[in-house]
Formats: sequence, structure tokens, C-alpha cells
Amino acid sequence: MRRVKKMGGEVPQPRTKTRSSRFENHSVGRRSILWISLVVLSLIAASCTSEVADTTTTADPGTPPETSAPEPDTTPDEPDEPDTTSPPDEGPVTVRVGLAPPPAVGIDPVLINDEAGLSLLGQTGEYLTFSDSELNLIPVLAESWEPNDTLDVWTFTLRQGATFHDGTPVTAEDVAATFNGPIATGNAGSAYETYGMEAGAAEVVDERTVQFNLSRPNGAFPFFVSSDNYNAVILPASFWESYGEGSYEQSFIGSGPWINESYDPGVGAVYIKNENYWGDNANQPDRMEVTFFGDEAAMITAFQDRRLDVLYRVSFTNAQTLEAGGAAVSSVPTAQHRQLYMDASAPPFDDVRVRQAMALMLDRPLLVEGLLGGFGVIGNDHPIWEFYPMYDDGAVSQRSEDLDAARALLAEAGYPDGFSAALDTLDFAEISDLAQLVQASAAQIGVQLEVRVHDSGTYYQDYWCAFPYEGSCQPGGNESMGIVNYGHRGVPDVYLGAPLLSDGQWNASHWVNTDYDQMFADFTGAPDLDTQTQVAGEIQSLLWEEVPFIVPYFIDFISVTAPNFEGLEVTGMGHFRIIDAGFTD
Amino acid sequence: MSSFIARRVALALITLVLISILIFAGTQLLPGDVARRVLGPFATQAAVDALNVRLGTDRPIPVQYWDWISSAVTGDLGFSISFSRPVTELLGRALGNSAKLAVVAFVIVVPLSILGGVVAALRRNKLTDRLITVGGLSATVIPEFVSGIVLILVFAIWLNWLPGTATAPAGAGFLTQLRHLILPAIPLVLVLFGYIAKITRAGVIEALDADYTRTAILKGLPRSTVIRQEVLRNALLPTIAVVASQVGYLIGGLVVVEVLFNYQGIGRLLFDAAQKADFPLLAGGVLVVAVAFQVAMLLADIIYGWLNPRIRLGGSE
Amino acid sequence: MAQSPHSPRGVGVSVPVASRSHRWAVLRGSPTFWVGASITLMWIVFAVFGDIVTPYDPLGTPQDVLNRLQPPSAEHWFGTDSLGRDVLSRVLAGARQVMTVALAATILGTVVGTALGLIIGYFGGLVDDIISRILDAVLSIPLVITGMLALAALGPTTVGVIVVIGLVFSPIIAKTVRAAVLAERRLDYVTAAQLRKENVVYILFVEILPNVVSIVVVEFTVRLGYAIFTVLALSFLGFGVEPSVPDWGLAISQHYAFLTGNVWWPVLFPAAAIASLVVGVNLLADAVSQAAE
Repeated sequence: MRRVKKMGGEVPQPRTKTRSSRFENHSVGRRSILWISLVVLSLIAASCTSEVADTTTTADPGTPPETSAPEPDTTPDEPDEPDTTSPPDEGPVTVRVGLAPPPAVGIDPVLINDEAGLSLLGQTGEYLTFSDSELNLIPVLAESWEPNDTLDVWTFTLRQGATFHDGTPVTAEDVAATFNGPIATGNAGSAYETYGMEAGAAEVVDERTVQFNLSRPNGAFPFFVSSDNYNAVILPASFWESYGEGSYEQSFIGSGPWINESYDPGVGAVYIKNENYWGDNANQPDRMEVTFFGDEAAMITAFQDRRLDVLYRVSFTNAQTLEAGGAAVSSVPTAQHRQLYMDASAPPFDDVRVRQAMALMLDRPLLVEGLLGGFGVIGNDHPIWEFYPMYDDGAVSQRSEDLDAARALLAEAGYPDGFSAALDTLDFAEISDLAQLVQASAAQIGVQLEVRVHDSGTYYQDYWCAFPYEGSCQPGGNESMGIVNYGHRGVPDVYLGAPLLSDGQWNASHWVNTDYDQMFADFTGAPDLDTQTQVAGEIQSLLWEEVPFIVPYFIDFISVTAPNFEGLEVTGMGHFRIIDAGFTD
Repeated sequence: MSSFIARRVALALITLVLISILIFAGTQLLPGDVARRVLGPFATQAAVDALNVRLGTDRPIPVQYWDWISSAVTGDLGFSISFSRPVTELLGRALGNSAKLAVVAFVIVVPLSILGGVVAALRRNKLTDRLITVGGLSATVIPEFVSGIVLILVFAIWLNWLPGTATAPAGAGFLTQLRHLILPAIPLVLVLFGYIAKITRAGVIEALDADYTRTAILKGLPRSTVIRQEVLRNALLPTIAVVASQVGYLIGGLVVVEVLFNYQGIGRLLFDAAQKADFPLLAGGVLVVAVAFQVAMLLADIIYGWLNPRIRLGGSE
Repeated sequence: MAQSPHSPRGVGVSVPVASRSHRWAVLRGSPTFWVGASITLMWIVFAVFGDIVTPYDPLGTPQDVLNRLQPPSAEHWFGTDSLGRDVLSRVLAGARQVMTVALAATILGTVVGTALGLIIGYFGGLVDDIISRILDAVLSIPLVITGMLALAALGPTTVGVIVVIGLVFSPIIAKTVRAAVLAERRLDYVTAAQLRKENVVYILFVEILPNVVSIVVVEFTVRLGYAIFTVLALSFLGFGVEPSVPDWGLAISQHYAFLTGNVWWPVLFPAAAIASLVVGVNLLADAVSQAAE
């Protein structure tokens, strides 16, 4: 596996293989969101370069191919169970996918908020648009879209010929019911009001046209109805009428390429190909078996036993082990990151110098190398990923480890001997290791942290934004510091809204800054990319100075497939698609 | 005999009622609010209150307890928060899987440990006896995850003889399933071996010293015949009672083994429920475990009482 | 955890106890005692003086992570773990963690259990019946499951582990002490004290307790073995320990995922430490209970 280290502000190198896509014939919504389209075009150009690089055998150090060729002379161990090995040459083709950890809660479009859950929802369900790993926005159930001049009314034209699994067509009424239903009325896992949308905002114009009336301008609105907002899966209006806890698992209805055959909580799921899918899915395997694993180790063993073909997300250590055994490993750079938030409403973190000291104690290149094996880029304490088009390269300098400066800031703030605090976080990927390195780093400047790692469900319920919950994270939660995960998004609006606005629903730092609130409004309402880049620069500077949270790094998403399997598509936030995909032999 | 059984059943029922109260009290201590947990952190307080009313979680705790226990008797243990499924359905499947693993463990351990106990008794205080006794004791006290890790390392990774996970692929045949269950069963076997062998050894020694054995030998029967006919029959029956009493241990041991070997049994389910603070599942699961334990103890007592009339007369002090 | 295979033995330690000098003579002649005692003593030494003998800081520094998962070498005899910390140092330091928690839990269980056993044994009747039923109820749930239940409720803290294990052990100890007290309370010296109108607390703790103390000691050693077992099982399951603490059970759960890549050292060495300590303590306990009989 090639380690591509991307420190500093290099040009993005989209590293997934670009295949001929069924989306190529469709136009990305143009004109009015011209600047988004420009970005898309430049990215398509970049991916073409990458494709060229893929066909060359000698890697050019400038444009390294991501999907490394499986080593042909590595003979894998003989499979010990011939009856369960790779798919037969003829007859139905089955692809076997491993998922670790299993969905944290039942599959429910409204309540789902974890990676495994959203990845399964995305097999049966579809969104208006799909936000892919290269920051493209791809039309799915919507064929095209356009805003009004003030960016607060968006009109979507639906695709003709898309049907739900029960044969009924996908209509504007279904779309409006989806957005006006329980997702919007206060239950959803996603922070709806920060999108500028209120209940009843979706309006049926005609059978194929839906209009969204927003409460404020939002230039990136198509991303908010994309797969980035995983709760916005389009379901029949009749489903929403009888929606209740557990009701989605009765039918698993949707318009997606896979139809659910069975779902066994904690064990796995089986899907069969949707023969009536609106898109071209001629190459799609006939059957997909998803197996859940309580931990990654068990999943890796199953893959080594040839009982799985696809692991859509693995840690870099295991990816290296599997690659040595002949598996194909690919990674995509993503905006996924961890936020080390500090409670700015109470001592000691109410003093900005203390927060700056905490940011200065971390050796970021060390974290990227040690915890991610180089599969990531260092962060600079704001969530605007360097590969986003509006990222302002020159706004602030990169913060790096400076223990003396950190100690001096602590002393100035009145903590010459440091202090003690608790750090609560969730058990997910490398976060527990990150927490331990934060603890060890803090010890170097005299700060004693008590680290408590919780199950992800418990963490989000009881620690992240402590309750009673009344519309936003309440100050005085039972943590003084914490680490939370943010999945990839095609645009940074979600990171900049709920976690940072003074009344933001995910503002775990309890950081209140009205200047920032105005900057965010300017950001989402920016009429063009130049204006937005300028606002982004101001946001980067302010967050860098104020440090409501530390962003130590952004993380690449690593997938592994059997050497003879091709065509897995993943997004940085955890969707995976097996449509134009299959076995090569 | 029947009055002994009736007394024993009554005691078990009283114990179960007490356990159910303890379990219910324990799960009420868990942090959080049931409806909040179901609906997630972003639901409005109004939606949460409404669901609490619908679920009945807003009522006084004794009322909730009565509701829970009276539905439990009819087989309804409520709805799991984390799996969005009826608790009974989840427990049923998990118990089936655990039973498979337990059967494999018992099939291996019972003959092995009885043989060990008999051999140790016949070679009392010789080297073989010391090896079996001390080795058995050591095996009994080593935690399952320690022996399990070593087994995975040696047999699954270094030698590649057996699979390192307990879950066989979907639709696998009997032999494939069995192959997957051998490694996970061994840590349970190791823990049980020392104890059962110890009881068997004591039983055989007692039987060897008993009058009827001396009489049989005096009658001129060959020693091997005497051992087969008299000693084993008298020594092994109590062992059966002891084996039945091990069900309670097994369920505890299963938690660790099922977590280590990624097996979807009752232990793993309880572990998940505790981690996710899924109260209905946790309460229902622990209740089922307690019932299984009481039933097993009851069987053990009945078998033992049937074998040993003194207990029947003297009561269960 | 495994209370049940042991509970018949644990609960039913025989009441008549041999004289002190005779017991010591039996112990001295027992190889089991000497093997068990030396292993236990070795780990006690590491637990007390761990800081002096560990070659590296068990908690490590952030920079160690660059040296992660290195196999055993002259520099790191037991290799390094997933954050590059010295496994040997963490195994040695882990002795203190497990011994402190297990010892504290056992002491708590012994104190509470003895007091409870004295009370129910002395008063008998309804008090005995009620408390015995509740004790049976607690005992009929496997200890690991009780522990998970309680720690899910109380939050995963070290103090929580101590309290849970201590409280679950107390009924087992109480039953043993109760049986011994039942025999004692009919003896003359108790009757004499009752005639002198001594108060109940005096009779229980000054008159009866010294006569059942050897049973308490035997129970204590036996329980210590199970406490170690349970503490480690709970930390393996991820209950009760901070992730950076050098703990054997936690080390195994943090690293067994790496076994598939043949990274065995961060797992096998803590496993060996656990095996040696539990076998040592249990051999010792076995020898002590045999001597008591």
C-alpha cells in the first residue's frame, strides 16, 4: 500500500479509480451554481489524470496511483472451506461484505446516526443527489436543480422512471413528505434548522417538481439533500404516514439498487439486485450478503479465510496486513476529522490561553504518522479541509507543537502548575488511541486528564451534549473536554454550523461568539466562490485564534477488496455502492 | 420425594421473584431516560415526553415493575432499544446459539473430566493424581480469555488448523459449524475440567473405601469388575448432579468467550446490552439467565436428592 | 466470575479447624504452598516496587507511537504495544493495578460478609431466612453479568469495580461465616456472655469473631483468587479501567485485534502474567484451605 502523505496545501490527488459511470450522461445542475460546477470539472480533470496514472506500472511520485495492483505471485493460503469460497463462474453472483462494528441502533431513516447504519440505509434507499468522494454532486433521484437569485428558493426536477421497490413511482409528493415528515419535525439525527429549512419548506409544484423555500440563503443547499445528510433518504409518502420506531425494518422500502431480503440485528443482512432499478445496473451482482462483526479483528480473520470479498472500511494496520496477503487496498482522502472540544463556558477552558495551550501541546505530524500510518493530513484547528474549493490557503499559519509556549500560556492564564480535567469520548476507530496520546501530551504541560471511553450510543446520549437538552448543547455538561467524530461532507457547512454557532445544536464547546454567527450567515449566503473563500479565510483565522476545538487531523478512508473484485465505490462518510462492480474472473 | 420437590420449587420461585426485583431496580439505576434513548439526542422534549407516556415509563416504578414482570410471565419482555426488536426474539436466537456452544463444551468435558477423576482416584497421591489435581485446579482458575487468546494464536494463526471465530458462514453444514465451535469450547472445557474431575475423584475414593466395595472384593470379584460395577455407578451419579449445577457458571463464562470469538450468543448479547445501556434487553436477558440457573440448580438438587436420601430427610440446609 | 464451580467449595469450607501450629506444619510440608506463595510473593514485590524495576515509563510519551508494535528486542524485551509503549514495563506495572483492585474488593467483601454472617448466624430465625434468600438471589446471577449490570448503571470506574465485586462476594463469605456462627452460638462461652448481659456487638465481635477468624482467613484467600479473576475479566470486557492504565485484561482486549497480523507480544505476555498470578494465588489458597481442614 502506498502511503501518500499530504502535508501542507498540495493540490488534491483524488486517488480512487474513476470508472465509466452511469452518471456521465447526466448533467450536474449548472449555471446557477456555476462555481460548484467549476469545482466538479476541475476534479473530473484531476481524476482523469489519476486514471492515466493507474494504467502506468511505474508509479510517478507526483501522481501516485491509489489502488495498488495485487501482487500476482502472492499465492493466498488455500481456502479451507471450498463450499464457501469465491463466487462460481456461472449462476448467480454473490458479493460478501464485512461490516465492523454493526449498526449501533436499528435501521431507521430518522434515527440513524452511525456509519454502519447509514451505509446500510444507502443500499435500499436513495437521495435526491449523491455526494461522492471527490466532492462531486451527482444527480440521483433529482435530475437537475436551480436556485432563485437570492439562493433561498431551490427547485428540483425529479428523474422520470424511478420507482420504489413496490413498483410505485417516485413522485414530488413523496419527496415533500420525506422532508416535511418526522425528519423535519424534531426527531432527526441531523440538525435541520441549520440548513435553513423549516417544517413545511418542501412544496410540490407538479408531479416531477419540488420547491424548497428556505428561511435564509444557502448556496450549498443541494448538498443538504444529498447523501451527506443521510437522514434525507427519499421514501414513499405512505411510509411516512405510518412511521414509528422499528417501522422501517418491516419493509426496508426505497428506490435503491438493492432490495432487502432479510435483516438480522447484530448478525447481518442479505440483499438481492433490484431488476427494475432506474439506472444501468447490468453489471451489478445478483446478491449481496452483509455480515456484521463486533470487532475488526474477527472481520479480518473472516476475510483471510476467504469468507468476505469487500471490507468497506478498515484500519490502516489491518489494511497493511491484508495487502501483504494479496488483497487490493484503496484509500480516499476525506474531510472526516476529530474535534477535541473544550468547554469554553467554564474554567479552566473559558480562558482562550488555556485552549491555545492545549492546541500547542500536540505534535500533529506525529499523530498522523503514528495513529493513521500517514493516511491523513494534519489539521489547523478549523474544519475547513484544505481540499475544499473555498479553503483560504493564506489565512493562518500551521500551528505546530511548542511545549514552552504552551506552558507559558498556562502560566499567564493562572495555571502555572497545570490542572486536572476529564476527557470523554467514544470508542470508534483510532479515537481511543488519540485520547491516550492527548493525555500523554497534556501530561507534558502539567495537565492531568482523566480519559473515559464510552460506547458510541452512551457517549452521544450522556456525555457529548449533556442533557437536559433544550434546543442546543447546554453549558455545564459532565465533561470538560471531549473528542467527537465528524464524518466526511462534500461541503463544510455542517461543520461550521451546528458545532460552532452560539445556539448550535452540536456546540459541545459551549462557545458563544456573535461575530462568528454573522460570518456563518455570510458563508452560506455567499453568491460566488471568491466571496465564500474570503469569508472562509476570516473563519479560519477566528477559529485558529479562539480554538473552541482542536482539529488535529483529517483522515483517509481505507477500503479492502478481494484481489478479483472491482468497482467498489465508497464516500468519505461511509456510504458504499456496489452497482457497476463485480468479479473479474 | 414429591414434597421435597415441591419445597424446592417454592424456594426457587421465591428466589426468582427477589431476583426480578433486584434486576428491575438495577436497570432503573442506569443513567438516562428511556424515550430519550430511543429517539436520540435531537428529538424535541415534547416528542420524548409523548413517547414516555406511550411506553409507560412516566409511571411510578412499582407499577412499571408489575407491568414488566406480568408481561414477562407471558413471554413478553418488551422492545430492545438498540436493536429495535422484541427482546424475546433476540434472546431466543442467542440462547439457541449459546446452547450449541455449551453442548459442544459438555460433550468434550464430561467424559474427559470423569476419566481424569477416576484415574486420579485410582492412583491416589501418586504423580498422576497430583498432575491431574494441580493441573485441573490451574486450568480452572485461568480466565477464559487468557486460554482463548493462546488457543487462537496457536491453532488459528500459527498452525491454521481451526477457524479463530465461532460464527460459521451462513448456511454452513453441521461439520463446518462444529469446526467453528471447537476452539471457543476449549476455554470452557478447561475451566470445568478441574472441578468435575475433583468431584469425581472424591466420589470414587469414597466409593472405593465403602463397605460394599470391600464386600465385593472379599467375595472374590476381580478389581476391574468391582470398579466398573460398584464404584463407578456410585461415584458417577453425584457427578451428574454437579455437572447440571455448572450451567450458571457456563453462562458467566460465555460472556467472555463469546466476546472473544465474536459469537452471537446470550453472553455477547448481554455484553452489548450493558455497553449500550439497553435496559429492556439487559433486564430481560439477566432474568432469563437467572431462570436458567434456577432450573439447572433445581434439576441438580432433585437428582442429588434422589440419589442421596439423607438430603431429602434433612431438608436443604 | 466462576462462582458456581467453586461455590460448593467456597461456601462449604468445613467448620472444625485444626490448631494453629498444626496448620503451619501442614503448610510447610506442602509443595503446593511453596510454589503458590513464591509466585504470589513475586507479583506482590512487583506491585510494590514496580516503579523501580520497570525499564521504561509504563505510561510512555507521545513520541513512542512512532515505535509502535515492535517485536521483542534487546531494547524492549517484550516488544512495544500499539502506542509504542514498553510491554515489559506495562506488564510489571500491571501487577499493582490488579492487586490493588482485587485486594480492596476482597477486603470489602470480607468485612461486609463477616459482619453479615455474624448477624444472621447469631440471630437466626426470620432475619436469617430473609437475608439468606436475598443472598441466594444475588448469587444466582453470574458475577460477570452482575458486574456488567452494575457498572453500566454506576459508570465505569475503578471504585465501581471494587464495590461491585466486594458486595457480590459478601454473601458468599456471609454464608460460610453464618454456618460457623451457628455452631459457636450454642457453646458455653457465648451463653456465659449472654448471662453477663454483654451487649450484642460485644458478643459478636469480641467473643465470637476470634473463634471464626481462621475460617474468614481461608475464605479471604480463596476469594482473592476469584477477585483477581473477575477484575481481569471485567477489564478485558472494557469495564472499569482508563485506556492508558497498564492493566493486563485491558492490554489483551486492546491488542488481540493485532493477532491476525501475528503481533502476539502485546497479548501473550500479559496473558502469561495473568495465568501465573491466578495459578499462584489459587495454589496458595488451596494449600491454606487444605491445612485448615
